[in-house]
Amino acid sequence: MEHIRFINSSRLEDHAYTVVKTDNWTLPLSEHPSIVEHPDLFEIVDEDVPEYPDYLIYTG
Amino acid sequence: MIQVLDKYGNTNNDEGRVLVFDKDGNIKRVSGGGSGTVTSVSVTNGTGISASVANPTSTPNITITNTAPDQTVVLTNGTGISVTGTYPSFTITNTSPSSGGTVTGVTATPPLFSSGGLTPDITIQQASGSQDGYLSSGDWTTFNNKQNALTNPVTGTGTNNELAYFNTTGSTISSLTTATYPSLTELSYVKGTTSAIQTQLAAKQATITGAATTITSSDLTVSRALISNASGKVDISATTSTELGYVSGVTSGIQTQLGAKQDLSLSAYTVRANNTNATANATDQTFKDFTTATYSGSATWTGTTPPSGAFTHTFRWTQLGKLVTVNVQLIYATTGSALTAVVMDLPSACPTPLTPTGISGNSRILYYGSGNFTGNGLIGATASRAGLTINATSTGYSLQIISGSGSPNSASITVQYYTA
Repeated sequence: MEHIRFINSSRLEDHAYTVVKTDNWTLPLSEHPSIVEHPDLFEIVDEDVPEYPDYLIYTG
Repeated sequence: MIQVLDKYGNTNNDEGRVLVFDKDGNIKRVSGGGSGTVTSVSVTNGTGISASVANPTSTPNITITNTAPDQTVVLTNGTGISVTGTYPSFTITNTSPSSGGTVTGVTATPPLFSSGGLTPDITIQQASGSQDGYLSSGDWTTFNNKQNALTNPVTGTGTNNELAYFNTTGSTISSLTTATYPSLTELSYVKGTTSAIQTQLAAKQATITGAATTITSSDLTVSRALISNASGKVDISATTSTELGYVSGVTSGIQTQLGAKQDLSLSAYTVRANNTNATANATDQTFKDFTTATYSGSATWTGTTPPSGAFTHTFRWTQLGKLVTVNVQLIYATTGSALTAVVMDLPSACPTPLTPTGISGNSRILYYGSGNFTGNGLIGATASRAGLTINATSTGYSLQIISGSGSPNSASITVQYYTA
């Protein structure tokens, strides 16, 4: 599933995998403020989200 | 010498004649002389005579020598025997011919013994209990070692196993009848006494009867409580003196006191307490103290950059009665930045919170707690608020920390709440 993640996220079980919450975002993910403002911190990936991820409510 | 007479009784000049037996066995002269040839001559030595022959088969020459010449022969008279005359003619006369005779048998009277016959062997037999005779050296030694005759001999007879006593004369011993006096066997019972028996007896108690008869001759097992057994006798119980000592100090019925005590064993996850306003028996209350476990729920951060890297998330909770205390620790390797809040799920292992009356709706606060997040391990410098809320979808419960913007790598929240 396509989602925005924190670039430093890891799929190792004991490392944080942080997904940016986009529940109410209706535009393309590429237009999400996290991508627009901090492409150095976030990226769009089309992968499965691992179990028990952290989430980030991006506030800029 | 044989002299042959003729039928007239006359001797004839028969020198050189040979006599032969005729067919009738009569001796008769034979006309003319006999002839023959000597082929060998031998001689035999006699006592004191030595004889030898030289040329015994041709012209024998016999030499006879007296080897013991000039021997003196002396004949001496014996009892009833008289010897007269001189060598070589002696006359031996039996001067008591009437005393002679032949012994044909000799007998003997004990202790002598004769073997009898013409050559009797006369012996003395050895004395024994039934036989008179001679005293052997061994028996003599035994006899010689005997005590001399008693000057005041004491005599008497007695009965087996009865004690002896002197009669009134003091010289006769008799035995005391066991009908009246102790026997030797009974007397032996005083063996081993070391002082006056009567004195010892007088110091003793009378014969023990009744319950104590079981303890008159042997010791009991050490350090046991005494009881009366099924026969009413003194006996030991399984209870030791140490165990019996444990009741020392008891001031009232033990069972009554025990019955008033709480059971040591409790149901799982309980404590006992009196939750009333008066004295009452304790009742079970819930007590659970779960040790620290790994927190595997999700954390939702609000801000710009979440903490990241390796994490160590743990939680712990304790319930006492209906009050629950829960603590969650989130620790990351790398700090985030510009973060103002974090929300995490209440661990599913925790008891379900009791929603206070009048509260409902998404994200509503149920119970306030304390919590903060920090980036340097020190207590957070920014004021924060924390609490237990209904989650955003009203499907569960969340723990939430709201703070001024910070750059944390850890968060800690502790909330107390009630459960049903």
